[in-house]
Amino acid sequence: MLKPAKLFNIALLAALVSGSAGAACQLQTPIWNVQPYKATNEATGTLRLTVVCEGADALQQYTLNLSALGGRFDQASGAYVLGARGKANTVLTMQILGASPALGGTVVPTVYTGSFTGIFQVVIPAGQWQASGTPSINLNFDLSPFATGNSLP
Amino acid sequence: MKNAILMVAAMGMFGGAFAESTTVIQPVSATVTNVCTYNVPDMSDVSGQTFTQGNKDLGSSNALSDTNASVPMGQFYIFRCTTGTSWDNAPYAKTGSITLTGTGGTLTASYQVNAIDTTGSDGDIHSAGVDFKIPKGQWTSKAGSYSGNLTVVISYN
Repeated sequence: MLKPAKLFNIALLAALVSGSAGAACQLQTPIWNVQPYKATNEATGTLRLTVVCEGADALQQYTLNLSALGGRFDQASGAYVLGARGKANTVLTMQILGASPALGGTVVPTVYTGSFTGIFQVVIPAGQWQASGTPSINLNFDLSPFATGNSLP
Repeated sequence: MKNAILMVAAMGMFGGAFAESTTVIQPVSATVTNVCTYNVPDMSDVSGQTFTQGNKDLGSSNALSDTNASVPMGQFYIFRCTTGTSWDNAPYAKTGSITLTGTGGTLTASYQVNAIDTTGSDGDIHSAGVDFKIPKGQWTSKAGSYSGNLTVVISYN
């Protein structure tokens, strides 16, 4: 049976834990902005990522990893290549430049410390005559902690 | 001793606040606008443009017999458009006649446009050729050279 004074201590510690969870690094909603596409010209745009680390996590280390259905990192260019699905299951190929190693694609990941803002160029190559409508795809961003002392893979 | 145990447990929970991955799923999209080019390798938007073909010599004719000549398929026009582009070549008649003029007066020629529209993995292809005929019996057209134009207008969006 714990004495009342010790019960108070437990309640205080629980409150600290709860506050820490709310302050963890968080990826804000990515901002995707690309020009309308015509097959005669490439279209360009940007993907803006912002991670906010506050309070006790201000110097938190973490990694960011990008994935999408059917997407891949192009090792030669460092771009992430993905296909957005449009009408009649047609595919519009898009590239996120500079995605590797910043967003994965390498054995040794990029480790970020604290808040981060990155702007990545997006290119939709010309000559994609089969695509029509408003092709879309989900981008998945995984934010994983990287504690000091962890060994890199 | 009980206090010490409680502290260890609390520190373990503290470190675990950011111990797991979080995933943000962001749908992204692009708006595709229809466009057409003239000829397949070309990459210029044809909107509002006029294309003039080379002269087609229909050959020598006389009033005793019909004279026929053809522009092969794809040599009258060939366009490539984004898949699904609405293509309307109705504004011009597929068959009709044009008046050729020359020093000897006028000469009538009939025509028939043969158009083929296909769709595939590389967009929609619209191509056409033309058959011309100078009908016999045009006795009032004097000897000489005659010329004229066949003009077609196509809309798309």
